[in-house]
Amino acid sequence: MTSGGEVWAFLETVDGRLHDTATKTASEVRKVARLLGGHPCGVIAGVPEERFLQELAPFGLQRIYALGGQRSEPGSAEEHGHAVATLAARRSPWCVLFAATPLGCEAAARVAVRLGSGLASDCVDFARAGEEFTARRNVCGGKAHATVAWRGPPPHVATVDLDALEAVPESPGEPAELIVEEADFGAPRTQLLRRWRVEPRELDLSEATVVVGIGKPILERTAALPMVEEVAERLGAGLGGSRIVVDGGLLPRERQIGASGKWLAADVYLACGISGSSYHMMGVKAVKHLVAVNLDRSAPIFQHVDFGVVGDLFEILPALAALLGGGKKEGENMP
Amino acid sequence: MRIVVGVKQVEDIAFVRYGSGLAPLRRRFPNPADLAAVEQAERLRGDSGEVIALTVGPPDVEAALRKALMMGVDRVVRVWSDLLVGADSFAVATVLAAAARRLGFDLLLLGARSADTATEAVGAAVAEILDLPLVTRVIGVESAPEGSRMLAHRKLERGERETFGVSCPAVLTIEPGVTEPRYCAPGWVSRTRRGQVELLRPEEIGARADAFSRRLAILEVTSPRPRAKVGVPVAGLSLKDKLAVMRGGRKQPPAEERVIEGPPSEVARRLKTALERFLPRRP
Repeated sequence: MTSGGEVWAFLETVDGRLHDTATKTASEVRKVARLLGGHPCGVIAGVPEERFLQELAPFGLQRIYALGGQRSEPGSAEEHGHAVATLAARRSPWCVLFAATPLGCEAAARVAVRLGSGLASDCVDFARAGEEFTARRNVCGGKAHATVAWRGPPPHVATVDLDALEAVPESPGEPAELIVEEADFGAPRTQLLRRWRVEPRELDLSEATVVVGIGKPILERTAALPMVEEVAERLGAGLGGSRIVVDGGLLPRERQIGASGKWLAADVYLACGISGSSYHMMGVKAVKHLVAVNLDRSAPIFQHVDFGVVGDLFEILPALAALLGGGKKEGENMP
Repeated sequence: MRIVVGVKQVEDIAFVRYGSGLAPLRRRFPNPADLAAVEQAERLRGDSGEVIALTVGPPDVEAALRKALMMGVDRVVRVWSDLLVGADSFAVATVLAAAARRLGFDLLLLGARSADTATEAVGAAVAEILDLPLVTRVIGVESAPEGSRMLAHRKLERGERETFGVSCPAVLTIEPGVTEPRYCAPGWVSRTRRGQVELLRPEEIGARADAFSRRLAILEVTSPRPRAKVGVPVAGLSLKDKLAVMRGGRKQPPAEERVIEGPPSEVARRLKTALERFLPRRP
């Protein structure tokens, strides 16, 4: 590669705002552009509002291509893929990066087919060895990594693992130059009939964003279970339990958290009265923030917590429920 | 209704050898998402339907086809040529698309992603090549009341769901873990061994060899390690914290600051503040 090519980030929008992967993907292309000696740029469907540009300003994009043109609302992955591909064919960037969201995965594959490019999916990291640009990607469910290299001419297409992505703002610099390009979105061939959200209460625990886990103490005070359910409800969380609670018949089998039950991938896990046995902790190791309430200060779970409270859950949880207040609409987290 | 289902054998992680590439293959099993696709096809076929399982690979991948036969598919087809050794997902998509077109179908079902390479690109690439409607990450399919249209429910993240209407022929990729593949008794294997695997060669189905040029090459397979964090100052950290940062984690404040004690109302208030800090920004 000679110098000066562009590295593109696909900036996903959803319901009239930037998807939270947009700033992260922008950070990622800044990193890749630095690696390759190119220019970090963004691609966005539709002409972005001023507040989008302000939100993206600290992430160091030099240009933002806005794809103008007719498209349905909300745009499908097919339309986004076609529009990005037509622009990429015209502008010949070095790389096009997508976040590995449902839309990103599909759009990336379509762009790669249209451009005849290689696609590296679910990348964790990028590197440059001499003239070769390589990516490390998850294989076998992330239990191994494969280092892959693109063959053939650019643009190289990649999707980036959502857990690897992080937004790293830089000190505010020059705002990005906005370039509006006419793009061909094509006509959608599938018709979106309905969009809905499964209530946190019914959602499978492995898919839940917030989870409340209850441990052994509840077996001695089963009458307090509705109170714990109330806390979960107000947090917009799914309720699960340790094995002993499930074995005790208080919760159904599919609500068991741990190595032999559900493996969580939640943003927040509130463990109440759970000491943190190694089998339980295996099931929650992918949780981003672990919060625990336990009577015993020496419980192993406190080794892992981001925030812990030593105390009686039957006193603390009702107080928490009162503080959280009622009237939360279903599916909503706290403001 | 004729349904073609793509199936493949995937690597068992317990037997993956680190080194160059994912080959040689050591121990494999049928891809769970593909079995969910077979199950979905069996439920959809109706009285006069036909289900065909299709795979791309050398003779030793026929175990996936036998599993599909056990689950009830009518025909099994394997496409292979030595030109396809080390094929990337687009070469496979090209061959799958050509084979499915040759077989003819109302619905082409594929696993949303494989348990090993997990590119999540084959379904979209096939739909793009065949120029057909596509719904990815599908958890349920039903016939719409009117005509040849299908309703496909898909699973997005964080409990979000969508329902699409698609007209046939169409491509759907099936999400693993939701549609439970039916049980097959071990004794059924002997019966299905007799099932004849039809063999197709890429040139017979009009897949051009120049489409097999690799656009992506696997250089090596290693044990996973988190990405290097840039810009995290580690000079002042203890060895334990440095290791935590190297493993992709973050420096934890000491336990005394993370774990608090006190009267219930006081700690509940701080607990609420902590939870609010950790909860994701609401969409």
